[in-house]
Amino acid sequence: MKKLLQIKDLHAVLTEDGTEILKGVNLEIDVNELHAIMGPNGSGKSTLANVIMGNPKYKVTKGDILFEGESIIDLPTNERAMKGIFMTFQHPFEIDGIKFSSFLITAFRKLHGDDESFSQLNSILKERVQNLAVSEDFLDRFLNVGFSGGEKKKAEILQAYFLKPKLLILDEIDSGLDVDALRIVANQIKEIRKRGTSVLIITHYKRILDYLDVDKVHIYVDGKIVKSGDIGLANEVEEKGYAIVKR
Amino acid sequence: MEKTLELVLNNEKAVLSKPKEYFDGDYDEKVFVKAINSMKNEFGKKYIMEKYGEYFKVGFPIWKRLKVNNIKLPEYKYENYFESLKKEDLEVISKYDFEGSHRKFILLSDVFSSKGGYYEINDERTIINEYSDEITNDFYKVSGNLTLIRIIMNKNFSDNTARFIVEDGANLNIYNLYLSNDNSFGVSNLFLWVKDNANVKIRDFVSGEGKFANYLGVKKLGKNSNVEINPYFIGGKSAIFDLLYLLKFVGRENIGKVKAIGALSDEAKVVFRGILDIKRGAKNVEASEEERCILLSKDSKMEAIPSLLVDENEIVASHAASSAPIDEDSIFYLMTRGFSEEEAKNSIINGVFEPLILELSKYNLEGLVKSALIKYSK
Repeated sequence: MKKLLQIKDLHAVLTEDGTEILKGVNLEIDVNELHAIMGPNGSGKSTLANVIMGNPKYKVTKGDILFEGESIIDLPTNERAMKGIFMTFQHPFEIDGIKFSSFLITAFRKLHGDDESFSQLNSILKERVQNLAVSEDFLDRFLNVGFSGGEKKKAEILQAYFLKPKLLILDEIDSGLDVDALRIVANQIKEIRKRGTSVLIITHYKRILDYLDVDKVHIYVDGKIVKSGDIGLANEVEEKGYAIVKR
Repeated sequence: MEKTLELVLNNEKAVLSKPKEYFDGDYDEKVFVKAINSMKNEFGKKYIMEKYGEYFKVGFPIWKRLKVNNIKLPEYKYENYFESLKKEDLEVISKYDFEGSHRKFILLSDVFSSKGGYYEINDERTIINEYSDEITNDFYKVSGNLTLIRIIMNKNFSDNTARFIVEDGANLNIYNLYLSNDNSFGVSNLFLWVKDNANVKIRDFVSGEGKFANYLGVKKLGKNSNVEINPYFIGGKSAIFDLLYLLKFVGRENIGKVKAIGALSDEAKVVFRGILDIKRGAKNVEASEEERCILLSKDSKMEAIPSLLVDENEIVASHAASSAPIDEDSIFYLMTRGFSEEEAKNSIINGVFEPLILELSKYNLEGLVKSALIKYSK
């Protein structure tokens, strides 16, 4: 059976100056699995997420990315999104003049068609936002504009839930969250997984993994995965740091 | 008269350079006689006769930044300029004058306007004035709540002047919607004298392909007033928008903010001049100006010329300017949500104008902005 995501010997450089960031990444994620990637600062974890999504800042020089058995390497970002890949951003961008609720409904219709009415989608949003402990006008504000760090992360996870991806890539969703916000976000991830969504979570810290049912942990150093294991590997990193793997 | 720049330090005054002037294409004395004969109101007549004394001595400026060195004035016409002016109104309007983008254009509208009136607003009112290739001059004395919408459609030449006295506790909202055609040249000059506890909101929308000199001056005489100015612009082809915003702080505890944003395509250019002039004694003032331009083509450009003239210590003043293509990260962000590159770019540009569109939809005027966006945001 085909894996949901297969990354084969992936190499990528910065488009601007050719600096190599990904140096041979191999990874396979199956349906409804949750994989965690942990690694030190500057190891290229976020680049991996960006390359999977097709960020033009990076150019793939070798290897392949297969999604449901098909190569997506030549697809533009929006077509990757339409296939069911969704990425939350470490620092979501503020975009003036686009009302959050309208943005979500527009994005939903681009990804899933317009079978569901505006009012149906709107009521799903209103219901979901109740679980996020945010202000009443959350959905009426412009996209991420003036949101606090925590609100931005909650907005990202709301999008992830609402847009029903097959593969959810969480790029440091836990950074900058207080304990309560972390629990809220982790609960949302659990809800998303109930629908069969696979998750690739990129993080520095084990604390968010404690809330989740993790299938595999990968240690990522200098542009590639150097060690894989179960949640015990994350515990080992927490205790001894990244020195457990040779650079 | 309110000068735009007054550079004085310890009784020494800087001499400011002036543009070269020309008289070719100006109205001659016959046109002035026609203007005098058209004006039936005796106080209006007195006003324009007085202004003509200065008018014929001043030439039209050669504006290098706008590439304007000749003028084609429209044929003089009279419709309803100062037709019901009273003696006491004349006494008021004679006291308030300003230099504007160039004195000639102020005087041109003083003397040769086809339309214009003296309005005293004591209640709540909305006025919509539409102008098309006209010379106009208005005076507003606002004690109540006024929303004024000026729609200026310029195909060839227009010169529109307005003066405002904003009295204690008054509320004034102004929308200046300027739509220019290729080869058109327009000048707009507004000046506001703002007193205590007043609230002023101004939205400028400058669009099209023509040349346009926009001048907006505010003098904050009283205290605790709040002036918020949001210029928006979108232009294409060889448009040149020369936008000058002057906030002069005389009184204490006033707030004045200018926040401009827009987008330019083709070879369009915007020159943005923001002057924050804080006089000695204007304590606890908050003054800021910010301008941002999205460059949609490699040949479009913004030139920002900020001036902070501060003669008081206890104030907060700031300035920021940026011009750049659409942020690639924002495009990527929207594309990860299923937007195509084209849709992402359009959403970002449209989003810039969305607050204005929302406000104008109250008056069914949002279409003016939307159609300019369709034309120039590619």
